[in-house]
Amino acid sequence: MIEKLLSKLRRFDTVSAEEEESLRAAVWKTVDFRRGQTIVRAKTELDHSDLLLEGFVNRSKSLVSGARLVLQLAVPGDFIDLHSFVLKELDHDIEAVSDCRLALFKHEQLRVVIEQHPHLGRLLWLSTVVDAGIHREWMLSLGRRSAESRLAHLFCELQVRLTAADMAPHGKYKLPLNQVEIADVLGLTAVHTNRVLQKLRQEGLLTFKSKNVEVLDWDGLVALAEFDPFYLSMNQQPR
Amino acid sequence: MPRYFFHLYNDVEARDEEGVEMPNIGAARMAALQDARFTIAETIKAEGCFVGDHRIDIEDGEGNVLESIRFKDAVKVRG
Repeated sequence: MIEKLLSKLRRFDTVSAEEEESLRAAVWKTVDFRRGQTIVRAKTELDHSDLLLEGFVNRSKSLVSGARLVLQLAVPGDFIDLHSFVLKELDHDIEAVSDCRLALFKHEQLRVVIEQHPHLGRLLWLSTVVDAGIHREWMLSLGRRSAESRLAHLFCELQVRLTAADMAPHGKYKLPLNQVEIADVLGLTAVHTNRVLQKLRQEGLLTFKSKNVEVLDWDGLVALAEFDPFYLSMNQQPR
Repeated sequence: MPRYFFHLYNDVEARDEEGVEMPNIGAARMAALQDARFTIAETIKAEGCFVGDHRIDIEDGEGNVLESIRFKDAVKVRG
């Protein structure tokens, strides 16, 4: 059930059979959510953390006007609110952007796991640190990348993260977001997002049709995005 | 709620295949106006260029053009 999490952690470092077993045993239950449902609401007390098994979720914050920014997209294998283990309440909402399945871990059980397996605890800690790295990269995008480069960067990042989850064969993957949701990721309008998508298509870099992404020119996309996957820390080493 | 489609005609033609649900044409018009201003600003930033004839067409689900927002009508120019 937690294979995608294990393969993600194994990109950081080796995970022993004992560590693997303790994580498997710590699953409390699985829960399904429908597209559009809120999984975690900000400022709500939490006693468990959610691991995404299937589907996509986003974390977002909004202004009173209704203007919203998607702060991160999570893909299967991401522990979407591991940080609630120490925060207890989140400052943002987490919403299902497709139908999805989650494995829930009680905080008290996670405490046992990381106390018995401190190395595994460090790998879980690292996964939240990498999340912060992703936020930093997105801040660079929002503040300094052009609209074209920002969109290119998003598609590069998703391809690398989905490939790690075995979900992007041959540069193709499903991205179940509508144009308004992509605009909320990029800080653009839906109309402008469409324009940029059209432009990247004309330049032969990628196509995005009926929620299907196909990267046609990976090197060109990487160059436009100035994408360097270093921030995803996908190199195995002792942690 | 009806679904409105916002097609952009500027240096790139970007047809809206999905549309967005809005309460009425008034809300769609307001949204298109904001969209036009956003794209105008982005294009000025990126290319230093404003073309008043570029436009956003609002269509209904049957492909009828309900309104056309020209960029020159979306902004005021002073001085």
